[in-house]
Amino acid sequence: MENNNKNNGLIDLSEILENYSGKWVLLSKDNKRVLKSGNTIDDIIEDSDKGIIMLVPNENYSYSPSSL
Amino acid sequence: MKYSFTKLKSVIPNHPFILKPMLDINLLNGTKIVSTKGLIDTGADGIVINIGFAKQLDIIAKSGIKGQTIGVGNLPVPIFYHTIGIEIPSISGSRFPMQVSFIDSGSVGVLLGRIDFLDRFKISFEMYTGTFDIELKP
Repeated sequence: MENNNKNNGLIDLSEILENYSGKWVLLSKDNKRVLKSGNTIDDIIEDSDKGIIMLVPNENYSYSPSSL
Repeated sequence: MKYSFTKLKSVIPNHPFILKPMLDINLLNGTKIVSTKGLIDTGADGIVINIGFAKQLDIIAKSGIKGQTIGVGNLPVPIFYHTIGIEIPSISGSRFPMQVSFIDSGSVGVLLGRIDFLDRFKISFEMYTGTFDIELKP
C-alpha cells in the first residue's frame, strides 16, 4: 500500500472534511477526496477496499485523552 | 520513518486548527483487511476500535472477553477484547497480532494506545515541525 503520510508537511484535511464533522468517511488513498460518507461506519464499510476509513472528529468538541 | 500530523478544524478558543497524530494502518484478520486511520493516544491503556470494524473483519465482537472502559465522561462503557493483526503499511515488519477492544461508540474510530501498540515502537513527536517519527523498537 502506498504510504501517503511520508512527506514532510502537514496532511491538511481541514478543508475537504469541513462538512463531515462527526461522520464516517472513506478517503481516497491520496487523502485528497472523500469517496463516500455516512452517519455510521456501516454506511461506508462495504467499500472499504477502495480507500481509507476515518471517523472525522466532531469539531464541536475538543478531545481529551482517556484511560481507555 | 517520519510522518505528518493531520490538520483538522477546531473549536478550541484561539486555535482554529488542531494537529492530530493520525497514522494510516491496516486492520487484519485472516484474509480480511481494512485500511483506516488511527489516532496515536498515549493516554489510552490499549487499542480501542469501533465495533463497526468487527463485521468487516469477520469477527463477532460480542463473542470476545467482556470488559469495561471509562473515559473523561466517567461512565463505564462495555468493550470486547479480541486479537487481530495490525500493521503500519509503510514500515516493513510492523505487522503484529495485537489485543484490541471493540467499543460501540460514536466518537471512537481507532485509538492506538500503550498495550500492544505503543510498546512495540519507538515514537517521537515534533509538533513544531508537524511531524512524528516511528520506528520498530530496538
